[in-house]
Amino acid sequence: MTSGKIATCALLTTVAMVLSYVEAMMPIPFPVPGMKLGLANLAIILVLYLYSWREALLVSVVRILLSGFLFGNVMSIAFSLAGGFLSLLLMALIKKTKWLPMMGISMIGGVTHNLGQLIVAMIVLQTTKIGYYFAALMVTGAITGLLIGLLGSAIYERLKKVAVK
Amino acid sequence: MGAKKKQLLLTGILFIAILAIAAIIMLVSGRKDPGQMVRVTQDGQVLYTFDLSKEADQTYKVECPEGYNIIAIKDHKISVSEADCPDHICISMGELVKDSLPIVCMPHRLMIEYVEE
Repeated sequence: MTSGKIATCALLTTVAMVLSYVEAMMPIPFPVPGMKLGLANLAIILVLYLYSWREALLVSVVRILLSGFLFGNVMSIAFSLAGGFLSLLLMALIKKTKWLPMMGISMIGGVTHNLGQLIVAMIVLQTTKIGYYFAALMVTGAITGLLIGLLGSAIYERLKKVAVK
Repeated sequence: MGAKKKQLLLTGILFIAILAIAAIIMLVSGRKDPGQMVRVTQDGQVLYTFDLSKEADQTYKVECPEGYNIIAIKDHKISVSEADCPDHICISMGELVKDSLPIVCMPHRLMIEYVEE
């Protein structure tokens, strides 16, 4: 890792953290409880495109740990990690195939982030009844993922010219 | 067809597929009869079972190592009125509705749901 790359990753980690904070403070009530915009995924997907899945994983884990200790608790860190790992794994794999644009990859990320969390929730609560809940979050995750991807590709076009390799 | 157009088309198809899967999950899981009793569980352990039609207005404090939730029964309806969890999703879910989602507080692993009995 060059020092420029470390600095860029650190900067994007900060962006991800601020976005998590903004999201935690957001006063808008969403139609589905637990629904989130997934703003932090914007920074993660940018790192994934600028560098590779390794840097994205690093930024994602650091972001989850920091914002978890600041605004959450041990349980919320566990949920975020499950969602973060699963969504990053799938986003990185699909990016390799070149089948989907950033919008589509981000959409998959939004859905699988919810899926990862729901799997942990089902294990912790020892229930399968929240499948109904997942269906609602699948739809919101797909829509917010698409929007985040659209925003991300616009930022990426500008950022890739100036970002340190 | 250009590569970009193909990618967008595939994104669109995937989006519709996701909506379709969500609709199927909702149809399959929405059909069960939810029953009459309301059960409160934490960590998979049953704390309370209520027949709301017979319960008087009351509050219950449920505690766990991470904090607490206050469950309120009012006018034969149950909700979480207060909690010290980070996201307060349990409170924002409002009163428990029969054909909808259980009330869940993930950080405290608390669930309030209708059950058959």
